[in-house]
Amino acid sequence: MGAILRTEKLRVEYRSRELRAETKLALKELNLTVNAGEVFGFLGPNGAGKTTTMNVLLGYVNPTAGDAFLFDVSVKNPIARQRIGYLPELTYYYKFLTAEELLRFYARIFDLPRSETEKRIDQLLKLVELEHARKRPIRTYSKGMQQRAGIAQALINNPDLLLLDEPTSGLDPLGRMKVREIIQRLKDEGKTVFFSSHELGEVETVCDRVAILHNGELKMEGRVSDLLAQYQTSLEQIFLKIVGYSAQAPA
Amino acid sequence: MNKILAVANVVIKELYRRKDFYVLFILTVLITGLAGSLRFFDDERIARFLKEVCLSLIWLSALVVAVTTTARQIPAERESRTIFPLLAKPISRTQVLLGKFAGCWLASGIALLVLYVFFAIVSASKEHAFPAVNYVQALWMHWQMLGIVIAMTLLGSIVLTTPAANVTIMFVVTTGILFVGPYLNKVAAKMTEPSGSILSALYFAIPHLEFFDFRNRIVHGWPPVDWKYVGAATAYGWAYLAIFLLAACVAFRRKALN
Amino acid sequence: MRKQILFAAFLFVACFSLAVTMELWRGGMTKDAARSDSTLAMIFGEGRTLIANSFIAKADAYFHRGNYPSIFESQRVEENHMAEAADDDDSHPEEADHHDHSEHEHDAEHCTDPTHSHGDHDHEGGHSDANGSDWIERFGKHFRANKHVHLEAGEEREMLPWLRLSAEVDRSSIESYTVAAYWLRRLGKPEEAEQFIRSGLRSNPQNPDLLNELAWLQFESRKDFVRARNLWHAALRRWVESEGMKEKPDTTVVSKILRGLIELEMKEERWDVVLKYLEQLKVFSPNPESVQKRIDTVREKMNEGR
Repeated sequence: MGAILRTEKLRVEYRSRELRAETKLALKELNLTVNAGEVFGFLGPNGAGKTTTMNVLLGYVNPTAGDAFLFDVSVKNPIARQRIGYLPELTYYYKFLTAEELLRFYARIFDLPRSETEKRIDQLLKLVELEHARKRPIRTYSKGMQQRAGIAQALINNPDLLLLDEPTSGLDPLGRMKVREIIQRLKDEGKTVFFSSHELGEVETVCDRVAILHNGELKMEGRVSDLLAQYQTSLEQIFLKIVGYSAQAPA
Repeated sequence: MNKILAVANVVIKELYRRKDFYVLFILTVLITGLAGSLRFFDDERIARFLKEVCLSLIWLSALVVAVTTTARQIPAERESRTIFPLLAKPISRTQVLLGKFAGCWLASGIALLVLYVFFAIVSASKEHAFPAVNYVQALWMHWQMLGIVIAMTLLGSIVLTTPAANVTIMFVVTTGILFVGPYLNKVAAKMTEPSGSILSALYFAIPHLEFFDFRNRIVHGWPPVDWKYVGAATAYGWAYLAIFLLAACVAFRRKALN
Repeated sequence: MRKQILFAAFLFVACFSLAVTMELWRGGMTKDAARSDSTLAMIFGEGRTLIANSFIAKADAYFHRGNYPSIFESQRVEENHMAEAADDDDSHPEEADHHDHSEHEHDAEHCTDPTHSHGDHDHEGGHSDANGSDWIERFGKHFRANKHVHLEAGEEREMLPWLRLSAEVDRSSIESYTVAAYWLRRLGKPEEAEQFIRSGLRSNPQNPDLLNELAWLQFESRKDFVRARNLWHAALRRWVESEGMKEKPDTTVVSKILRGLIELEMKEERWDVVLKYLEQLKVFSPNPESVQKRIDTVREKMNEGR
């Protein structure tokens, strides 16, 4: 299976505008590979560089050095994002639009034919159980409904790679279960999923492989099953050990 | 192009779902109605005063719609973070910006059309005439002027820190150019150096929006302008529009989104 | 939101203050600059005058079908008009009365005179430099109303709203009343003209300029020579009371009154009275030679009669 997502010696520095302020190194020579059909968990404590990596992959931030590729196309080229779907941590959508208008808008960005767009909208609204509210403005939706609308928009182009940024953050147990079901369904369909999360139990359940980032450096990368076998403990304990917490933690 | 139009479509939807335009349109209708109800020396044939009041309100409303709609586009995208899922799609920042521009310009054009139709009705009710060519020219030129203002405001929304500051500055700049811009050379001629040269350079650098102001022509019933001059003014406007858009694109590409 | 409102209010106040300051500065340059003991009263008073004057200028712009010089050009235009006014003095008695109705108002009367024509000359830049000094100016001319034409055939009514508004904003704006009354007379609306002058007189009792305008109304529209004469006499007395003792009296109004009286007495063929008024006019006229010529003509007529 070929690499769908790849970073090569990715380095990101944030320079402050203030005089004499230090340059902050957010990512140090990150090499990462995600293969087709994998569900890849991207872990790390706050400030580890997960969001920066995600920002580079989505073209929000230009790397200081190195490069990142989606489907072997540099992320600097917008076309690299033609076959991806992205679900942000929080819902950020045009609240004056209805769900179907939002999906139609994003479908146009992907240059989807009109007939296919309408078919996809029907399918996705059914999938995320928003058919009944399809003509209501998003501002009238509950938080869970908005997150489901977000999932629908992430899938509008039938993406081969899904980038999910804390997809279950802030959702109630029912909402989390639904999101998990959707990820599972996508995995069954052979889609590649790359997601960052702090919910290690969730990652352990759905991910094939994980990478743990700490202080901008890749500390570990491997198959979940291999790590569990190697360390003989839960993913959460492995994570704490790698980020240097276990030493101080009570035995 | 499809991507640009998709973004533009959302801007237009936003305009007609917000109350701003409706409020301004109703105010224009009400104030025009009030001005129309005034009787001066018992002479019903007085028409130009009403036309002037109505056109001035149209200019003000159109400017408010164009500047306020444009000024909030990029800051609102950043503030509500809708820019992130949008840029996660295969669309470049330049395309987003061009889409925003096209949306604001088209939305302003639609608003202008509605306002000019109202003006034509008001004018016809008083003068029983419909100088269609004059109206088309006035509408077209007004729209071109709004294009320049929108491009300028879009640049301001990226460079300036808050939409309120941008709106205020754009109003001051636009009205300043309209009222004082044509005479800067005359003022410069009376000034000492280097102020005179600086003002003179400013005179040649600013977009001369007064070319696009056909209010007097409409109010006083001057004949239509030769189309070749309308074409030349349009090209002149587009040149400024392109300069402002280019600057906005460069600034937006360098701008950190967070 | 509060900040924005405060900022907008600040801008408005700043603009208003600047406009008032500029107007005061401009007023200070002229001999009839406003004088007041209270700065606040002066600013508010000047603010009203500023708006009223802008409405009068608007009426003038309407008279020229929108072709009107900006404040940056008006000074040069004023100079030109003053020169024209001096040339024309006394050749058209009533028309000359209106020379100072506004910067351009004398054009109105000239326009009504078929022997006097401005033609289609350029109004921009003080009637000169027809091609403009740079390409922006030259190009801009294609879009501006730039032919010097006047309203005619009853279209003059279009100016009236601005004059009415000007008078309503500043009731002491005599010019608004006199110019409006003049045009109302011309438009065949003497009732409205009289009503308007009388409302002006209520706010400015015994104003000689308004009395003069009322006299013209009686003389021209009503053909009531007796009332016209009485009104002109009253205007003359009022002028003497208010201006006669001044070191430098405003002679414009008295000239207008005298011209009116001369017209009236000529109609009645009371040549000795005409001579008396012409002699008085000669004292105030900026062009006494022209008045002297008229005196000679009247004397010739008187001799012929004998």
